[in-house]
Formats: sequence, structure tokens, C-alpha cells
Amino acid sequence: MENINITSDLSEKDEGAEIQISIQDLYFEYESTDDSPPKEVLHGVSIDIRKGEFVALLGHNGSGKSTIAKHMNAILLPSGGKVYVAGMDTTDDALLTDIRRTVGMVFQNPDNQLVATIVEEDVAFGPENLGVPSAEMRQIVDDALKAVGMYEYRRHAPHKLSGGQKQRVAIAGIIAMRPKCIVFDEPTAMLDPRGRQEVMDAIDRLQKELGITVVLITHYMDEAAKADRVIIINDGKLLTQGRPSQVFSHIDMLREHHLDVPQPTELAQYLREMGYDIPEDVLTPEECAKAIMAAKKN
Amino acid sequence: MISDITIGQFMPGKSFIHKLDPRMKIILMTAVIVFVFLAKNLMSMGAMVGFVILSMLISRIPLRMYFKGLKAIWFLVFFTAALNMLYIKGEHVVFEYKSVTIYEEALWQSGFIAVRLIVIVIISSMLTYTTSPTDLTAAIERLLAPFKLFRLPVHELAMMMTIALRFIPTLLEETEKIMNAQKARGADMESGGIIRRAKALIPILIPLFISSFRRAFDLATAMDCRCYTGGKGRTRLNVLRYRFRDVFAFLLVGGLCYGIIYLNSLAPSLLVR
Amino acid sequence: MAIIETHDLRFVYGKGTPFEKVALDGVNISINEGEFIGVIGHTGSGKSTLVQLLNGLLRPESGKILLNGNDIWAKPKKIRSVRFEVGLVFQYPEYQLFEETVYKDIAFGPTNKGVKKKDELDEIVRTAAQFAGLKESLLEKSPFDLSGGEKRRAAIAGVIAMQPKVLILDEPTAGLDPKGRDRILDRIRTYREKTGSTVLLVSHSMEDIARVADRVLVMNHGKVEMFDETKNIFKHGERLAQIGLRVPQITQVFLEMKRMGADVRTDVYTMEFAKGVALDYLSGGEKKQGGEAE
Repeated sequence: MENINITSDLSEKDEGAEIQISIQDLYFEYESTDDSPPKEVLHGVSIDIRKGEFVALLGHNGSGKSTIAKHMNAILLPSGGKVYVAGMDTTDDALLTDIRRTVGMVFQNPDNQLVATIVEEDVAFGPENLGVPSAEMRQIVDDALKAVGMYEYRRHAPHKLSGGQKQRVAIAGIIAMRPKCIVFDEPTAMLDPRGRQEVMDAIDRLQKELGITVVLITHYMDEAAKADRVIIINDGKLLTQGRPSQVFSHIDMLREHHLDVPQPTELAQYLREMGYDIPEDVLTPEECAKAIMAAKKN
Repeated sequence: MISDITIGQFMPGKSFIHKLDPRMKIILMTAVIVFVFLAKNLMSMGAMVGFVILSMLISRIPLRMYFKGLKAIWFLVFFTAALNMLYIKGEHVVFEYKSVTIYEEALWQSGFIAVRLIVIVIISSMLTYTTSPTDLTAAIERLLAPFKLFRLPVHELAMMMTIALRFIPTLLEETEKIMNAQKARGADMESGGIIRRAKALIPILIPLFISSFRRAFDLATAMDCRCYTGGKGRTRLNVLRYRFRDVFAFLLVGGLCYGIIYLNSLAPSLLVR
Repeated sequence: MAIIETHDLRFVYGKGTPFEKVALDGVNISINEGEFIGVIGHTGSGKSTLVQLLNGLLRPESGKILLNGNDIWAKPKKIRSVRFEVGLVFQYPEYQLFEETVYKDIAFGPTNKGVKKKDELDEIVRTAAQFAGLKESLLEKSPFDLSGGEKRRAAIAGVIAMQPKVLILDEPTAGLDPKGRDRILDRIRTYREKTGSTVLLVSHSMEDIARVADRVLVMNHGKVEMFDETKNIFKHGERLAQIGLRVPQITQVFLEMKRMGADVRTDVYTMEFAKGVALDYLSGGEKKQGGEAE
């Protein structure tokens, strides 16, 4: 498949920022079992993620994006190539705890991530494992719960919460480990629109207010549109990357790889092709509405 | 809905007993259960029964909740008492009819056994009514800690208990969902003999097992991501601490135990042997 | 002719307990044979309760459900037969797969229904698999070896195989990637065109509903909020937002323009139509469709 090249002029703030996760020429294959030969799912992926960045990883199921994510905190180890987290080699066993407290991970099913029968005890699970002194724990847990807006529910039982609330508790459980980066593996896939919104708001705040680096795997284009950078993975390779407005303007490419095209972007592009003066970086309905009205005035 | 079933029957409250340290509660309640077996005459047993009634009142748990617990063992109490009455031989005959002879000693013996059973049930329900499952697990983990020396995986057992408590409601909900889904495909679970009904469970149990494995796998990964490496070096959010009221309760139960031994010595035992 | 009708339907969870909650109240709807109905509403709006009432999994507290004019609870012992007429595909249906092979799993429903002849059953299973877009070669595989999207479609085939007159799907695309989602929506559409069945699609995704539904039922707090043709529903973007729902992004574009003072119509919910409306607006042909009620 032809690699579509989008000039990757990332926003200036990222230039020169320290690299937090460095994936270098990553190859990965699942070990062979009795009835299946080894299956290679990643063939040479290189990605650098900078401090404070918000990166969205897109690609259809089976493209390898989740496999890449699982390399970012040593759940999976490379078959070839290297992954460095804050300079630490993920294959170094001695660094495992340090790597995992640096890069936290939130998964799709909120039910299967919560361990304890009370919200605050679940949030404390990570710090407890790290041996944080009990005296400091209370503050850490309260702060984490407040960061996701779940402080009022600290004494509740997780199974009584809504999906969005459970997922926010799961996020608080990761924040409580004070990570520098959080990888979200389709965190909203099982949620209703309200839950999705709650979780996306929480993610937004983490990145903007706590300065946590965010890697978000999603199928929802409106979520990816919020990222600083979008990376599209296809067939275990990096297909393209760039600012959301750059990547999403390649409508045919998105279609070809079974990705959704944001509707406002599609409409804007159509009108531009029809000869109207509409900018190229339209992503949201608001931007699209403004652009159309501005074009009318001219 | 089945998911509303509460596990352990914890009833939140603010009574003196609710507030006791769960470790102390377990220790003291064990002591009470041991000493109910040591009470041998009317005076000591009377003191014990008085103490238990007093605790029931202090716990502020509605009395009917205790009776609910007793309902389940009512048959057992009656049955053991009846057996004892028929088989224990003594010197003073109270009642005789054909081959059935009942002795005075047997009456006392069965009465004491009935009271012991009732006290055990009331005390253990009191423990679960007044202690949250989390506190209970934490207390058991601490109390069993010395057994680590004998390679008993204390932390792992407590972790398993916590996870079980966490996932029981989730799995109950899931069972209900799967049952509904199979019913929607025309599965008939309400009619037929035992074998047919057992067979009708297969479409529910298999999906349930598979989903439990998937959850277990997901949870293990999530726990790895949260740096779980077993009990070593773990700290706790909620540290259990003995307070003045625990000492007070300890002295109270200590007094009861001493009293029972003392009262036993004042009058002869009513028990056989 | 109405295939399903409800009269003053009411349902209460946990009747007589402190957790008592009215899930549905005063629901009167009528669905015609062959219609494609979209059902939307936020979590807890009563839409899942409604679909479980429609196939007799739940029994109404009061009110009636008529299937082809007959009260489905007239003979409570016969309620199982209603479930073959009104097929219900639950959310994440792949978790109900249990047989050794996909074929056997699809055959579970029709066997329960009483299909005994082997060749008849074979025909039914293969047709259902075809509707769900499952290749013949998958039928002898274990359902647990399929991909996520295939599992989902195998589970849907299991319900289609009961040959229901009404097919209800609760969030059939939840958690799938766009490819899997498009595939399932296409399959449902084809199934309905070929069989003429009535289809109810419950979804959170306005984009999905806008693509397939003839009429949309909007549920809110256990009551019917709106029940109208699709194009009329999406005019009420503000009201939908108030009750915690979202309109398709393309509709939002025009609602936003309207809010900023532009004179455009807002009953836009497909891309093709949106392109036309936007061009009209830009070429100065405002009010061309004049008199559109807002």
C-alpha cells in the first residue's frame, strides 16, 4: 500500500519537547500455537511521543494499534526493534515497575479494571502496590478522584455506578500512580453518549491541567479531532500522521481504510471543490458553520 | 433483580459495635463462641445469654434480622435437641412411654446445645451485619498474617476474597442478561424434568464461564498495569487502628469470660460427663 | 396495518421494594408492518425496557401489547411463542454464543421453535447465515474462534433464524469499528428489504439512525417524547440536546448556522441533502424551499 505522505509540521510547542515514549522500528509477532503459525502483526513501526502531547491512534480492528499501545508500558515486548519509556528500555525487567508507573493504561471495559468493592479503595490500589506511605495516600486518592469529578462517589460500590462513572474511577486509579503519560485503549467504546462525553472531558482536563501526555485509541473521529496529532495505523504499519485537520482532509484515504470521515470536514471539502472559499482545516460543526457563513459574505 | 442481593448482609450503622475495629470484633466474637461452650450451669449460661441479648440491643440491628438468620437453622436446633433428648441416659426419669425414656439430664443437655447453636448464629450474623465486607477482608488478612510463616498465602487469599466480592454482583447481572438472551431465542427454562432443566442450563453456563475467563484475563492485565506484584511491600489506604473503645470492649468480654469460669465453680455442672 | 400496538403501557421495576422505579408509563405506539423504526433515548429512558416488553420477556404492570391485533399476554403460558414472532437481539449478543459450532448455535433458536426436519433446519440456518454475511466456511468453526464482528453477526443470525416477523436489535453496532458497524447496518438493511420484515433498531448513534430509519421513536424518562418521520425528528435538535441526546454532526452544522442568524433549514440529516442545502444557501437561493415550518 502506498504510504501517503502528509507533511508533518507539528505545532511548535511540540518541537524540541522531551520525548517521552520512543518506539523504534518495532516488530511484533504472536507466538505460534499448535494450530497457528507465528503471526506478525507489526512490521517496523516508529513513533515518538513528546511530553504533554495528545496523540490519537486510529485504524480499523486488527490494524495493530492496540498492539502498539500495549508496548508502551511493557504489557507486550518487542519481537524486533526497541521501545523506550522516558529513556527506559521496556525489555529491562528491573525497570518494569518504573515503566508502568510512568505510563498508565486505561482499557475498554470499565468493569474489568476495578479491583475493590469501594471506589476509594480501588483508586488506592496502584499507590498501595507502589508502597506509598499510608499517611500520604489519603491526599493522593482524594486528588485523583477530584481530577475526574468522582470525589462525591468515593464511598460507593463500583457496580452501582454508570459506565461513564466506572471509567472515570478507572482513570482516577491510574492518575493516583502519578504517571507522566496515560494510554487509553478505546475508553469510550462501551459507553453511551453521556458517558463518552464525561470521559472525554476528563481526558481533556488531564492533558490541559495536569500536563499528562495522552495517547488515545479510538474509532470516533470527533474524539480524535481533539488531539494535537493523529496517527493512522494500517496493516501493522504507520500509514500517515499529522494534525487532525491535515489528516482528515484526505477523505478518500480515510474511506479506503474504513475510517469515518468527520461530516463537517466532508461538507467543507465538497463546498471548496465547488469553488467556494472555505478553509481546509474544518473539523467541528461550529467551524463548518462559521466557514460557510463567512464564504457567503465574500 | 438478582443483582440486588446483598453479599454478607452488611447493614451500615453507627452503633458501638459497628465502630469497633473489625479485628477486635472477630477476636471477641470468637471468644464469646468459645465460652458459650464452657458455660456449664444456669448461672454462667444466664450471664452469657444476658450478654448476647445486651449486644443485640446495642448493635441497633432490628431484632427481626437476627430471627431471620435463626430461621435457617431452626430445624437443626430442633433435630439435635430431640436426638439428645432421646439418646442421653441419666438417673432422674422425667417421662416414660413404652420404649421412650427421657431423663432430666437429657433435657438440660439438649437445652444447652440449643442455646449454643442459637448464640453461634446470632454472634456470627452480628459480625456480618455490623462489618463491611472490605473491613472483614482486611481484618482477616491482618489476623492471619502470622500464618505467613507457615507459607499460608494470606495476602493472596484476601485478594481473592476482595475480587470475589467485587465481581459477584457483576456476574449475577451478567447471568441475568445471558438468561434473557437465551430466553429470547426460545430457550425453555421453566418446564420439564430435572434432566431437561439441567440441560437448559448449558446455554447459560458456557457463556458465563467464557465471560468470566475473559474478565479474569482483562483484570489480570489491568492489575499488572497498576504495578501489582503480590503482597510484598504493599501499603494500605485505610490503616486499622485499635482505639479506646476496642480496649473497653476487650475488657468487657474478658470480664464475661472470667465471670463464666467463676460462675461455673459456684454450682455443679448440668451437663453429662 | 399495525403489526405492533401498545396501549397505555406501564412497567415498574422492583415493585413493592424501596428501589421501586417506574421505567415506562403511558406508552402508546403503533408500528406498521415492514417499517424500519429507529429507537433512541439516553440510558435509563426506558427504551431497553420497552423492547423487552415487546417480545414478552417482561410483563407489563398495566396496559396491553398487541401483536397482529392479539394481546400477547392473553395466554401467559403461550408467551414463549411470542419470542419467535418478535426476535430480540440483545446488546453485545456475541456473549450468548455457546455451541460447539456456529451452525449449531444458529440452529438453537429454530430448534427451540420446533423445527425438526433436518433439511428444513439446514435451509433456515444457511439462509440466516447468508443474511448475516457469514461465509459457509465459518459455519463449522467454533464461534469462539471468530473475529469480533463475525461473532456479532453469528449471534444476529441466531435470532434471524427464528424467522421472526419483527426483528429488534439493541445497539447492534456498539463497540465495533466503523468497518464492522457499516457491515452490520448494511446487512440489516438488506435483510429487511428482502424479507419485508419489520425492524426496530435501538441505538445511541444518531448517524446510524439517520442512515436507516423511516421513523424514529424518541424515549425520555419512560415516556414517548417524539415519534415521527426521521426528517421531522432532527429538526428538534435543541430539544434532543436538552434530553441528553445528540443530533448528527451534519445537522449540528445547520443548527449552528441558524443560531448565528443564518436563514437555513435545519431538517438536514444526510450528507447528500446537506450538500444541496449548503449550495442553495451559498448561491443566495435562500428560502427556496420557503414556508418550511420550524
